[in-house]
Amino acid sequence: MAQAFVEILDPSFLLFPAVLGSIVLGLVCPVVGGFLVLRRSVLLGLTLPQFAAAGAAFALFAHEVGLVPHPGHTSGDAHQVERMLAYVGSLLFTFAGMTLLALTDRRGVGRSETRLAVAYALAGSLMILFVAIHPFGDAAILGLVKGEAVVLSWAELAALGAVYAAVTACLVLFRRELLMASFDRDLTFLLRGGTFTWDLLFHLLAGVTIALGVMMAGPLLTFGLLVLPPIAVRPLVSGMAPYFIASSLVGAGIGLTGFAVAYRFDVPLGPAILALGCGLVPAAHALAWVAGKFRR
Amino acid sequence: MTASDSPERPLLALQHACLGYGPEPVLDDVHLRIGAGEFVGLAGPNGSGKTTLLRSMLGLLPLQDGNVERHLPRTRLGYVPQHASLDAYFPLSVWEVAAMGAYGRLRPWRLFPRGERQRVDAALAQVGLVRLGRSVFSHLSGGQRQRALIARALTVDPALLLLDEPFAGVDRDAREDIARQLEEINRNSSLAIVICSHDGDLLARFCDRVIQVSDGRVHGGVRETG
Repeated sequence: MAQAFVEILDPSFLLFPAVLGSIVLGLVCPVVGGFLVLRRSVLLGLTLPQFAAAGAAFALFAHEVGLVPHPGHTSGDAHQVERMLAYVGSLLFTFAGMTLLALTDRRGVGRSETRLAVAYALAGSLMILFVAIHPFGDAAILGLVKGEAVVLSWAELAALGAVYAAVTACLVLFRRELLMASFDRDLTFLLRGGTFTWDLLFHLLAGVTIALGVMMAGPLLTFGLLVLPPIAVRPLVSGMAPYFIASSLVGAGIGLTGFAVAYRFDVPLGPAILALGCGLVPAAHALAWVAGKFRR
Repeated sequence: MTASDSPERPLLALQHACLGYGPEPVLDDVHLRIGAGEFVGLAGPNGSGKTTLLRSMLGLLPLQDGNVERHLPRTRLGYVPQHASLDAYFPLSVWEVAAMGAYGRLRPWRLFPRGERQRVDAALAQVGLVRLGRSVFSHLSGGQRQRALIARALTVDPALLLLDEPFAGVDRDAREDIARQLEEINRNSSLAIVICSHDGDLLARFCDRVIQVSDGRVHGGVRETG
């Protein structure tokens, strides 16, 4: 197993950009997901990646049927155009999904869980329908759903790094406001005049993180990296900085370890990372239980 | 003679106020004046509208009718919600909860300045929680959580402190402790305090005056003069 780590961390390794991509996703997604978990919006973290995947599927479909012009002259150009369109589609559908959820929330249509359940079903079925009516989209979307980050190029890694660095900077800069708006809305009204700005900022950051994460790693892996690390570290930490830092480190750790496991045993990357994350949750709770026994 | 019965303007006043959430008001024709340095209790049975009145005083609930006068900025209002209304899932330490009171004065890019840290420490000392500063807020007892929220409200540097059922879910000894600490804070710093509680007897023992909230009305909201 140690040999697998040595090989994948060698810069000459063919999939080295994908290794770094998994680590970057693992570092940033849990920080955004940490807020989703605390705000009791975990289902939003499940639904928005579905919208992002549906957007990517729609973009590929639109490109293939000629709704979007084909500017590329070579197969390489065409692939770049497809990837770019998929990014745009992913972002647009994510924000459309967020707007739809915000509007229905404002109008008080049903309960929060039921709105998210309907939205999840809608996004999931749209994705399958776009793929079904465009059979050539199958392979690309299957890779997306399985969470195959192995296709990441250096240019995409640079874009992911730049956008996620900006997201992290915003989260760090406005950490106090985002925390206060999540924990106590009345206090935020008294001290900052309301929560609208901070809710909007958080949802923008979450939307960008999720849309990009889905394009790099698929909806299931993005959801897992968003919520599993913060859920695992929650019973073990005291204080918000340790919560976010530990979530981020655990995310990066399972991203890297999952890659090594997938490489060593030749299994799909996404499920390997998720299985590790899922294993950490009961382990962390058991550890917290034992630590509690010793404290008493 | 206190500020509430003096011709001086009060910190906060409601006139002919109609308060509620739907078409039927919870409280009607409310007259209320809170002067500087006063220690006022709002007593009444559960569901009588005490929290509605408190939220309207804070500006969290708009009036359906009437006027509210606040002669202090919103950022000088210290609010202590019921501890059970806050989500216990947050792994916040007691110190972090108390520090939130300073957030209104800090720009996003600023680190937590030393002066503000000292203010947080002083607020925790006032409620006797310095030793528990690093503990997880949700691991504390009901009384300790309530005191942490009082420390947070004190960190705001308030001119008026409003507490919503601070004795709810708190044992008898802790209730007395909290009431005594609030009385001490009121006496030492001349901070105006409004407490709402269904425990009218406890309020009568500690407060300068007790306003009764019942049957959709507020009785004794303005001190009788002469």
